[in-house]
Amino acid sequence: MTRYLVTIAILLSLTAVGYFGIGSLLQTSASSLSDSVVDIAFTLDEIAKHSSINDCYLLVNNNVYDVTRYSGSHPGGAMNISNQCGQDSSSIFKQIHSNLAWDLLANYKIGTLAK
Amino acid sequence: MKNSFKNQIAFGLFVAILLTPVIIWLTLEPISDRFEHLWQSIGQISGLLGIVLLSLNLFLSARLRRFEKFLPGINKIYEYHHHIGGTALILLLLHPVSLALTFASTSFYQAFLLFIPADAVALALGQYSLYGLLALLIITFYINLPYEWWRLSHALLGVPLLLGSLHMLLIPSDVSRSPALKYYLLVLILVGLSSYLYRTVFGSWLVKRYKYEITEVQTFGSITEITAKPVAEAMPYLAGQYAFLQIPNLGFSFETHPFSVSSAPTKEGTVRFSIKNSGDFTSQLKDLAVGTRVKLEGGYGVFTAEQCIRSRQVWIAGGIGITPFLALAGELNGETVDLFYCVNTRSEAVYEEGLLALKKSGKNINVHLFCSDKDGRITADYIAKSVADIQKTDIFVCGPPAMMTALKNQFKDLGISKANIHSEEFSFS
Repeated sequence: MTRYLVTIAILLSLTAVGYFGIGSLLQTSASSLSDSVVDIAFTLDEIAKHSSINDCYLLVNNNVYDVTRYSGSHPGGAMNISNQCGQDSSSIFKQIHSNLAWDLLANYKIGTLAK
Repeated sequence: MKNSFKNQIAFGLFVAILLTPVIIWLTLEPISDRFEHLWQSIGQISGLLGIVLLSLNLFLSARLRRFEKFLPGINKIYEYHHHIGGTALILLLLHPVSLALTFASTSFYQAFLLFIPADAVALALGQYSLYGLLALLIITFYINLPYEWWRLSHALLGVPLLLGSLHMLLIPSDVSRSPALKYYLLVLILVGLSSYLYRTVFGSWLVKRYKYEITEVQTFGSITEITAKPVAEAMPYLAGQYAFLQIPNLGFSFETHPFSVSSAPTKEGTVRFSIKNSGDFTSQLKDLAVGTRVKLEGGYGVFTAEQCIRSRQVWIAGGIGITPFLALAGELNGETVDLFYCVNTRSEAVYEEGLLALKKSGKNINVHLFCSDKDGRITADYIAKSVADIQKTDIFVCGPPAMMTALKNQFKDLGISKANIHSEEFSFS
């Protein structure tokens, strides 16, 4: 019985990974999420206004990201993003995240920090 | 306290240990977050439960004598261990898949990358842990390796738990945010990892094994009898218990197998094993030379006279299941016993004579021989009719699992309380 269930679980997991793999091939050829980014300059004060889970800007390496739409999908929990809203999160982001997270973050870029 | 009651306590504790992290998780702020993203919630809970089960499984496999009374017999433990391990794997597979499904709503590529070895240490630890676990359990579930190789592969299972635990503690999540959840899991993981270190990694030094020397090897049909005397300290055990036998000269030196001690404890500490030839290991035993050094670990098991609350007993032995009764019979002291000795054919009943001799020497033991080629299968009904007032006896059963299950059910139908029936399972594989 256990062996039967384990077999099903392994097959379903493989199917899921295959689905994500094929899905990503189709999606990259079709998408151009970050093409339309207009480079707007934000001040620290402006960024700090967007400090709630429902309106969340992150400052990472002098780039500004609006991750409001993404926070619910955060694998580490929405809470771990909302703590950071409106702040410079460069150091924590660098410590934790992989290339995939950097790629993902790029999709949400809305501008840069005003010099 | 009755063992069946202790088993229930242990089961309750198991459920509580499993549910506690889920309850802590449910109460974490913001509560609205718990069910807002279903896949994320499933992913988090499955990860938590998976790591708890993995820790508990290592604890179960440590065979700690102190906790033995709370746990069922060794065959049942092996069975639970198997189911718990399989369930842990299923949950830990579900963990990244459901988290990836939350990614998939924004990007399939991000979801896919969750399964490719990552640069981020915390994530990579989780990936290596899962792939290690998967590889080792595929060996257990699907590949028929020779016993020693399988055991070696299984002995590596502490590594995925270690990596998985580091992943859990390092990755930013509810666990790292909630001290209660973090410390609860940390304690469980430490229990699991210390059990693993005690039994699997440092077992040769930490687990007490007694050195014995073989003094006699005899064969009776398919049964080999080995008698051994202690080289230094004798292993403490009670009649009816079993010990793990390790023979460094034979096969892989770390291979150990459980066998009932078929002799009652003596002052000199000598022990006898009566072992049926049923596999690679047991078939080589008959060729062992006198003087061979062996190691014993034990005694284990709760199939002992401590379980008796009445002065009259019914013993039911199926085939080689006679062995614990041989030891128990040697210690009889005024109690009345009806022993049903069930074998396939009369020629297999190699201990009949010895048992009859015990009766002659004054022990109160009635031997009922039951040969299935002539008498068919033994039933509880038959036993109840052969023994006066069976309700007032303690019933001990030891034999193949199928026979024991059948008899236990039949006794239950006769209205005999489960608490009066004691059993030790033997598997003949």
